[in-house]
Amino acid sequence: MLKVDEMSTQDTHFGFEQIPLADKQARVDDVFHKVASRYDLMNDLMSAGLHRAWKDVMVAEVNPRARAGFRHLDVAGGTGDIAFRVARAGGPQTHVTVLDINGDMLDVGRERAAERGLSSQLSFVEANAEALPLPDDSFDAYTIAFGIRNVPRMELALREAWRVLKRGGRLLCLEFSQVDMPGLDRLYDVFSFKLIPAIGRVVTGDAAPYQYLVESIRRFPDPDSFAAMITSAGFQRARYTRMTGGVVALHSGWKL
Amino acid sequence: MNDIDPAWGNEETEAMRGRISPRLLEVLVCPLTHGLLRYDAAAQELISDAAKLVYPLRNGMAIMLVEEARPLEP
Repeated sequence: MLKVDEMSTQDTHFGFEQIPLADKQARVDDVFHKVASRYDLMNDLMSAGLHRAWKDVMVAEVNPRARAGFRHLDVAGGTGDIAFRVARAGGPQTHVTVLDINGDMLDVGRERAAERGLSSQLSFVEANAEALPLPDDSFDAYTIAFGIRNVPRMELALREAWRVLKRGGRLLCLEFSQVDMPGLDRLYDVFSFKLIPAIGRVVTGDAAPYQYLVESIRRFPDPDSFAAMITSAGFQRARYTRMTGGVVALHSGWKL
Repeated sequence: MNDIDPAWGNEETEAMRGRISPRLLEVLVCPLTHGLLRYDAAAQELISDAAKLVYPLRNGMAIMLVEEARPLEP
């Protein structure tokens, strides 16, 4: 395992570009500042609405009704998309902490929470997934949906997830994966490399952020490698389920 | 309505007033040391004595990023 100070001199990837590790967070921040207000609309367009179904599957796995006073942490979910689902599914006894490194995304989420009458069940905090400002053993579940890919040092984020979960708590990670259906893979290539940046240009006025998103999806580890990373972070019974022909995978692990 | 607002103190009104919720204040720790934080309500800051860092609150949002923190002056 590399130490932080050793890693800080390394390069990382920003989409298909190699960039210094220290620059990645700034570049990712820039992407999300540009798209914050249109983020959920873009998700609908890019996934043909499927992201809703994928997120519903993840929240069903969270099962916040399982325990009274359920404490949930959603990371990189600033706009509240996952948090609102968990809060509703669990009812008033469920509390969700929404953590994101991007203040613009959190502002959108906080506003929407008030509109939906869910503010009393939610807390919003700006922080880094690699260094959570939260105590050990304090959450029943941790979710991160389409976020882990953007964290420069994923292994640190996974270790932090393990630290803040209670024993018996569960990590759920929804992320783009590798399409494993013949035929669909070529269609997916055209869609993602040609269409998504074009849609991004029309909807948000800028294709570059979506070029990054598409490239970063391709750079993400295959599901077996990512499951191994989850295990290395201390989790037990790491497994994953592919959805929509492998476009996304839902990963999970338990802190036991 | 001149009565005391029954929602006083809950997170909705705290957020609307641009203040951090008491619940979040209780749970947050320093991201570097995992130690306790002191809340300076007047300055709208969270102080980590162990890390000698001061984390800002902006419009009630705690910014728990080391890069955004300022050094604690002795």
